Amino acid sequence: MNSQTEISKQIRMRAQNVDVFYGDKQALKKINLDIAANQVTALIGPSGCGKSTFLRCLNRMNDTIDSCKVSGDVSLDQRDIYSKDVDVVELRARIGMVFQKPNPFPKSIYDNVAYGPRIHGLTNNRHELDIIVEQSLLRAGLFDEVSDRLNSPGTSLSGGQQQRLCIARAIAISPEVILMDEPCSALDPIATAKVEELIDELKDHYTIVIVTHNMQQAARVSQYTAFFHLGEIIEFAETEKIFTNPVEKRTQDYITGRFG
Amino acid sequence: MGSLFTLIITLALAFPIGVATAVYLEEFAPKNRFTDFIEVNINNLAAVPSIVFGLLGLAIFIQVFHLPRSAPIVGGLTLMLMTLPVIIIATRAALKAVPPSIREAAYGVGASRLQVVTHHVLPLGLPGILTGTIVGMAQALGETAPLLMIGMVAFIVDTPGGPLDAATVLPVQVFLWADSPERGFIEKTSAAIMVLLAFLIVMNALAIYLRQKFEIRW
Ligand SMILES: Nc1ncnc2c1ncn2[C@@H]1O[C@H](COP(=O)(O)OP(=O)(O)OP(=O)(O)O)[C@@H](O)[C@H]1O
Ligand SMILES: [Mg+2]
Repeated sequence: MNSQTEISKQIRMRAQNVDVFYGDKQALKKINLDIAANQVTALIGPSGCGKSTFLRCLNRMNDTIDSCKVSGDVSLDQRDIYSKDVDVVELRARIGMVFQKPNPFPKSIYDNVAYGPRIHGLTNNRHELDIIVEQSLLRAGLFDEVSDRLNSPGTSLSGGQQQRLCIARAIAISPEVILMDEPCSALDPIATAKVEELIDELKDHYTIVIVTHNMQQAARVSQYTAFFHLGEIIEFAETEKIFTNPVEKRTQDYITGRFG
Repeated sequence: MGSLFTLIITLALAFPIGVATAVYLEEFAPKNRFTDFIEVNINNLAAVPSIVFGLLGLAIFIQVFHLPRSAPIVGGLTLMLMTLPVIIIATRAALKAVPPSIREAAYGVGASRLQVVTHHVLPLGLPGILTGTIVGMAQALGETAPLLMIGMVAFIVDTPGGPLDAATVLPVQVFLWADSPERGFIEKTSAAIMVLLAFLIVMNALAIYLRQKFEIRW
């Protein structure tokens, strides 16, 4: 049933037989998924099916939840990220994350972006840091809007700007993979369009995994799509195939809005 | 002066210990039976009548450690015992109030647990922590019962030269003076009460000022 699509591209991350429990409750069952390098992989499915849970397995954010137990293998460039000798801090520097609600730190725009490079000691030099901040903001498509007020608080920006600030913050530490959990769900259509455009540009440099409830968005921005239902992957294939010619009836029903 | 020394000692001990305990319990301690037990006990301690702390102070600091009676250091230590639970509870509440999204954001860019706490949670919780501390201190300032027990009741004429000299504190002074209504003491009592109230008002004003100064919106 788990139609294992062979990905023709290079594989950056791979999940094998991943089970996740919250206490006694199983949230994910035997998840197998490959994430192609420099592509956008979309995770879709009805609410509560475990998309966010899976996303959080990929950078071990579930470690911060006491009741959460993860088993199975998740690897990044063929290295198991759950093995004992992996430094979680370093791992999260390689796998950045953007959250559903924009969550800038209550600091200045500059400090928001500079925070990651600072704690990872990427540079001690003020000038280099300035360049990293500027580059990140440029890439996130925010620089023009905020270049004259880098010292005003990040929280003073509009929602869409805040979300792009969070993206800038994530890319400031040059991650290889960026995980995005419904990054546009708090944004209006224009801000959404901007972020989508941005995602499309970012995929040249980064591998992106995005959770979305918006079918059009998945179709627009992603190259691969995985359909989750009740903690399982029902179908995983090229986005085009999922949306035009799904194998599973449940997938078809979900994307045409007949269930969920 | 007795009040001042006593209070400084209380603050110097209760603030770091209280905040450290709260941070540990809230952010680092594993959730198990043992930490649950400690939590319940801290909550209970906050509700113990202050005179009990006075007796405890008497028993421990004077009988066991033989510190001088009537000295601000004993008063301070005793009041520290009393304010500690208040500070711990206030600090934990302040830390809990820091939105989880900020923690997630920090973890998401690869901050370690310690960095999350020191860079984000503590600064954001600071206004609440300070308010709680000052409220606890104000309560300590006005406390009489525990200090009667440790003998800070002496009729002391000189101002104390240091934390080990005999001294008395304002509320105890008021308590005693009000008891002996000979002429002359009525004015003194009133004056002492006014000083005490002024102290309290200043402290509460400070609490409000600090809270607003550090208040950060998100
Ligand atoms: N911290 C938690 N503790 C206990 N159970 C949790 C926790 N987080 C999620 N769950 C459970 O795990 C299941 C999957 O949740 P998850 O958040 O991954 O769903 P989702 O697909 O992201 O949903 P949505 O689209 O609404 O965001 C749900 O049944 C949820 O109740
Ligand atoms: Mg979710």
